[in-house]
Amino acid sequence: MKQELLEQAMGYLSDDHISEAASFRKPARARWLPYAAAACLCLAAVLAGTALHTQEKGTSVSRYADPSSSAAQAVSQPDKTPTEGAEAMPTEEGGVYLPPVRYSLSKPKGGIAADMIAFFIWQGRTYANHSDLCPASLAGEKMGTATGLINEWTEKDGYVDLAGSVEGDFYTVEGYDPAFVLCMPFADEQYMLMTCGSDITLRTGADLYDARLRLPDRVESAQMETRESWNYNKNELWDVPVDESMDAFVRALCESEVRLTDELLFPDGEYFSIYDNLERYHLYLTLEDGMSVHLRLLDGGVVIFPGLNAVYVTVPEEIVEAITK
Amino acid sequence: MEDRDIVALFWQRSERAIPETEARYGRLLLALCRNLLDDGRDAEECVSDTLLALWNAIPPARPAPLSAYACKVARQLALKRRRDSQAQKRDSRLTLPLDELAEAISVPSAEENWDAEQLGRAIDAFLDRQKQTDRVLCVRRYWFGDEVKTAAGLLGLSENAASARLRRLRLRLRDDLIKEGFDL
Repeated sequence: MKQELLEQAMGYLSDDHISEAASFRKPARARWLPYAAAACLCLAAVLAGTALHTQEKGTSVSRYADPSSSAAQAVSQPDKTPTEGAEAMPTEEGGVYLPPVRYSLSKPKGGIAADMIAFFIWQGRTYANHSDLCPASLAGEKMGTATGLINEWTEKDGYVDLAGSVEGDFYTVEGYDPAFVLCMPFADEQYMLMTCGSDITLRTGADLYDARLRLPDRVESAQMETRESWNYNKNELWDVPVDESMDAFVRALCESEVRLTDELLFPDGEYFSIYDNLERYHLYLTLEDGMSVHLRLLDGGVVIFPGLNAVYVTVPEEIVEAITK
Repeated sequence: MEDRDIVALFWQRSERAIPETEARYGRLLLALCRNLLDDGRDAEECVSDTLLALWNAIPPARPAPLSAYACKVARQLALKRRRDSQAQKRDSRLTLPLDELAEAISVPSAEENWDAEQLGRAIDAFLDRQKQTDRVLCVRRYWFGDEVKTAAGLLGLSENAASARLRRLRLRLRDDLIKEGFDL
């Protein structure tokens, strides 16, 4: 009976909807796309490896706050006025404040070592790529052109607006806050996401995973690989169902308290490599608009977004297990 | 040949209207009928019946778009043929997508006597508010009876991505129907 009722009900769909579905043709894809995708993966591995290298040397974001960025002008209203020489810190209201940060191609005295990280400075904020990409269709308004004038010998006063380790036009990402993420062309149909993880306050995971990355109800597909596969570039990925378990995972990300990664990296004042010792999986989410989001899953339900690796959230382990099993 | 030219041929009672319709929509109609009928030969006969039905209906009908009209005729004929020929044997083809839809929106049992037209209009209005990709996916799955993989391929999505979208669509439809006053 239910089936008959639905059969009949569907019979009342309008001609427009049926005609649209009958004649729909997907857009043609360029033939070179697989090669571009392969190239993207190579770059992603290099960038991610660099990020890991940086992390595992103990140079966490908060240890190298940029004192020269105090005059930073945020695109949207910053959560807190930048503090001269500030370090990432818990706030009185809960959550954490991440001060302005600077990447450096020279020895990391006042910035994060970034030998191969693509970054540029815009409106006092430093945007860096941490391996995530987005389709060209998400590239919005052109906001400027990075000059790429920063190299290993650049003095502190060279870290000015539009300077960086890469050159080229950069754009907003449609639907996302430009104070958090911009993009630059990488291949014809792929753009590098450049995230800015500084001068913001994060109280719960929702401030990152909902307000900035907009994960809830938008994950369209997911893949995962082990730490070993990622570390040795084996590319042994498997599909993860996007079902109730994934919904629960995203919900838990949003509901979790945000904490400073330093707590894990320096548990007793001594550096502890959480990635070597605790990391288990890498999760790659593709959102319905084509945005890709890479997450690192560690023991104890710890989840880190590499684009903002100064902080982590903790998800109940049974929820993580439900998507990793 | 464009729709309006084909319809003009029907109106002129030119027999060329049949092969032109078949050339333009034959594959689409056959795929639709195959989704609804177990037997491939039944599906082919159903397409022939559809072409004959169009010949009989045009004129006086002047359908625009012809695609939707032809598909609706083919669907009705296929559903009737299925009901007539297989009595109560459950057909896994269309039953499966409609079951997943029924489960999501908690269609009540027979006693509650829902109005199919009211439900259909509500689903149609819901589709109006969806993005094109989601709308096409929904219609291909639940009206044309496409396999998820087939509908995903049509839209350039992975099967997983299409499944995820369909699941969210069903949840949104359920919420929408509740807002519209359906007692779910």
